[in-house]
Amino acid sequence: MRGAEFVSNIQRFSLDDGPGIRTTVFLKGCNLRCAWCHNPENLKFSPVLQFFQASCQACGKCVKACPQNAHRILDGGHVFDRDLCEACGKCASVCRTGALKLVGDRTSPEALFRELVKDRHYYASSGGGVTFSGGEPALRPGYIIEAARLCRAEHIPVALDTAGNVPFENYAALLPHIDLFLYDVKCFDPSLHARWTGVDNRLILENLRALDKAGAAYIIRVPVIPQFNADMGEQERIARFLATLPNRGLIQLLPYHVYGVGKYEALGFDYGLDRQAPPSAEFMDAALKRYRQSGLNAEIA
Amino acid sequence: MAAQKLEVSDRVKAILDHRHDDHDRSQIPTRRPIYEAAFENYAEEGRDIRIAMGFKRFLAEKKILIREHDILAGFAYRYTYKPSFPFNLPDDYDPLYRPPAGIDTCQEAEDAIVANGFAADSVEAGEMRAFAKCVSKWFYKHWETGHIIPGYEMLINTGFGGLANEARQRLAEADESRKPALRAMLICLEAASGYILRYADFARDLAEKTETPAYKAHLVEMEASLRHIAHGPARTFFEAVQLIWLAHEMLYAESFPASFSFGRMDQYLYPFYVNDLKSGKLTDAEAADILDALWIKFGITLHGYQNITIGGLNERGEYASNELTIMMLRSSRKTLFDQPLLCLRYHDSMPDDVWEESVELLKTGIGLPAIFIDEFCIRAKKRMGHSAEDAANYALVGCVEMACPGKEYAKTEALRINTGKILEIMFFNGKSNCLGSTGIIGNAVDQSLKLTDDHGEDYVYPLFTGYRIDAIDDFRAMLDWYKEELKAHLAYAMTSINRLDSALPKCYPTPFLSVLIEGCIQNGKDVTAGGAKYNNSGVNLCGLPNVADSLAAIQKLVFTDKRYTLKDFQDAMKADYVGYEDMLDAIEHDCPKFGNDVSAVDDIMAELVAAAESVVNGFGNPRGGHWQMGLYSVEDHVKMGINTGALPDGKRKGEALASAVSPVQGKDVNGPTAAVNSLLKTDLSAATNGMVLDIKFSPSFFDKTSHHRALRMLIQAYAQQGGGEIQFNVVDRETLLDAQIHPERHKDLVVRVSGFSAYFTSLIRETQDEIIKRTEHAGV
Ligand code: SF4
Ligand code: SF4
Repeated sequence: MRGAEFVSNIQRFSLDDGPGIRTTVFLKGCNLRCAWCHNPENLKFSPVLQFFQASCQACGKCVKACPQNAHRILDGGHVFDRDLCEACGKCASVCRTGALKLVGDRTSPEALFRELVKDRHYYASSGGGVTFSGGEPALRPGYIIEAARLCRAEHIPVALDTAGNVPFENYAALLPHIDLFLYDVKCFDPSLHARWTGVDNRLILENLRALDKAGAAYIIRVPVIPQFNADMGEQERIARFLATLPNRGLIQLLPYHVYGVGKYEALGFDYGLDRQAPPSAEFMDAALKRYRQSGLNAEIA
Repeated sequence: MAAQKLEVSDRVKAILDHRHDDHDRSQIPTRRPIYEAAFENYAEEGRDIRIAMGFKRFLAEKKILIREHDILAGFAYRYTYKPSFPFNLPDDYDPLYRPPAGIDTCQEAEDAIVANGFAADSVEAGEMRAFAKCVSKWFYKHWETGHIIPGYEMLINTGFGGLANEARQRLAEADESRKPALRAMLICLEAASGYILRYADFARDLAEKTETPAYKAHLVEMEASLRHIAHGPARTFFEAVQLIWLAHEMLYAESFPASFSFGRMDQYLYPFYVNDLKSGKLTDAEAADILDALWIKFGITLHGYQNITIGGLNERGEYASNELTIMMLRSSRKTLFDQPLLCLRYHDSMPDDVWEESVELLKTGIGLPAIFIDEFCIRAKKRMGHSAEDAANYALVGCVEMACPGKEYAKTEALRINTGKILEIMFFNGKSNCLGSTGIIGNAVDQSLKLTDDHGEDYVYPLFTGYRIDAIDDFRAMLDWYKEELKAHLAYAMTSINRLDSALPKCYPTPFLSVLIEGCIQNGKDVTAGGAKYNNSGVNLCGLPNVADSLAAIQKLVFTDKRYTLKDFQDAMKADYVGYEDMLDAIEHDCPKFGNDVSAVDDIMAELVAAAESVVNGFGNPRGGHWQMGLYSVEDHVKMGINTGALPDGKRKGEALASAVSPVQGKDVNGPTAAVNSLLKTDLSAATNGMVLDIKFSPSFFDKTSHHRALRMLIQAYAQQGGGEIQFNVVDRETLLDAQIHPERHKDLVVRVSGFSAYFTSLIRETQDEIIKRTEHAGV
């Protein structure tokens, strides 16, 4: 399939990825490794197999289906050897309990568009549209431009949810096709950023300045994460930096939740973060106040 | 999120705390002997007069009640309704639980055979008996009384005295044929005035005894009001509410209160409210207390389907909400009862305060308000012959049916058809694999409804086309056959109801209800005889999403993939899929399901509805009205499901059918917009008797205020694309599961069932399971 990419999920009635009622498209592949990532199934560029042990009934159908002998039933229990798995999906197609799921479906822009256009009435009535997320969708500018063209020809606005760590030329190419950027700013301190996400944030902040200068419409999203950036000093630094952007719009503070933990187990990954309580409401309110003091239009989302 | 229950005033709290003291079960069987005595004394009179005399005597003798701390006088019971109507309700039901109640259709059919002049061994008599049997086996469902919005608005502005004057005048001019009905109505009107005067005396006596000064003062005022409204129209907000309640209470005395509803209460009470505020007679706090007190009276009748409609466009096309709209939403949030069913008329121009207040109520999880789309409903009423003005004034009755307040005798629940069972018996030459349990009503299996001859599994249901399953060799033929059977069943069942209806004025007239429906006094005709301005009948389809999924599975597995044959389906259904697990797998995973925005199955649904409409549209009834079609199921999708065997969509024997035209429970996996889109491929304007789309949200959905707006936008898009009704369930799964294990901890848990809300613990187990299985949307 020419121009197709691996899509992990098409989420309709998505309400928290930009304004209005939206459909969010999750593309596979990311070049950050945030310790708190709640979409770990999208880190790899290629498909991955999720195994939800709790749903498995040890029926053994997957054992027969797998050409790699990755599944075994031992003493009535299911043992999965992930190292052998080549993510062909054969086992998932015979598993009837939902215990096995192959994430990543090669989807052409046209096929994608056919799904996206189904909710056009809801986009129109609510000021919503389509959001590309991931993973890091900005790593796939050609694909997104293709899909965005189709959408915008039908008056469907397109947003891009990005972590910012891609060469600026990608954004330059995307700019004319994107109505709104959802841009993550995780912290200001580069070494802190490097420690928690695997890369420092110099390029990310630079890109943001450049996008601002280029006149892009954007919403800043700041995940507030215990242990990482949920302290007033760091929030203060972020706020001060954001206040230097002349064309800034809305700033959303996103309190951390332990949503993704189950998915780590299903992927055989370790969860990089200790299980944390979300930041307290008092802290969020204080942080919000701090942003507003800097003249920022901020909200807790 | 923590949905907020609102506090009530101390005065209202006293009423709330004592509300269960009023139950006096000894009252329930008092009606029958009084009516029987009146029937005997007036043996030489016609049925109208005898029933009116029964009513009069009963009102003169029945217990009445005012509590000193209460704001309103009165208390309503459901009685046993024989001998004026063939209705089964046990003498000793506990009003704290839902009464097992139902029409005795076998008796009704026998009465109608005689009244219609059919010979006992005629073809017609045979058809009517067969129909009644199908009803008792939940193949069809038939309901008779009480889905109506009486002319309470007319009453508060005219008074019983005004109505009696008019009836006297008409009687003086009437020809002989109209005199009995008019005399009966006049007897009822006089009885009603007398009844209110009894309350006035009660208030006077109580005022003398009462020691609390504030109560005493109120009782003195109450007495004066009661003496006035015994004949006169209401002068104040209080009098309007009091008169409505007492008229409601009297309707309970006449016939089973299946769904006596109130129309657009925020609209017609508003002038009284404004006047009283201006003249200083009333404060907002007092108005709220009066409404709360009324809400508590409603709450006594579990499953009373007492609808109150709020908001909506007025005759000038403007959205008409006011202070009372908000107050009524709050009364529901203060009480959190299953009653009244609050219905919000939606239009894009609805102000934000009404929506925000509605969201606060939705958040509590009680499934209220249900939301009705004005464009859809007004169009439906016009299509059924209502004038533009009357159509714009529609309100809700029953679950989701639109009716013209005070002008319409539309028997919206006259008939429901189990469309799933039609498909089942097509595989077995008219037989079903499910004996089921006949006569399940409420929580109880009512033995008296059992058929005298036990047909068991060998009972042969009617099939009309003469085709056989083994002769079907392509999908078109299968689909067309189903459509033919569906149409034939509709015609047969509607004809049967028409025959029952022809007998109504002769057998079970309701003269008191007639005085509260405009046109009956003027025409000198009982409502059952066509006295009202509008006279339609409703037929409702149940289980259609299962049929659509079933036919889609057959199309895919038998005719496209050729993995199975129709014979395989027949065998699997007979075995209830035991030993056919692979086939169940294939149905589950490889076939499209309604509710996911997949045209292969959504288009089948559209075709089924269009086929049904082609018969219903234009089918007349004996009152000069027409039949209208509904796509809602009350709770009957559960009861009909219990009485239906396995179906090709993977439904097992005894499992619930889909609720209304919502996706089969748990089969919609693409979110609410996909579910809505699936449904909108059907031309819903066919649903002139109403429809239900049930969407379930987890409580956390409401955490964010941005989601409140999104929900409104979902409704707006639904409205713009032709949707009719939408309602929301907001209780999480864990709570519901816990309520099954520990019902005692969740006595006050109210949930949306289908077109109505109810206490979860009052529902039969199968209905509870059905609600738990519905897909829950989080909004991500
Ligand atoms: S097919 Fe699914 S349920 Fe069966 S053993 Fe494999 S993972 Fe478990
Ligand atoms: S995805 Fe393919 S290789 Fe991996 S376990 Fe399943 S069948 Fe085996």
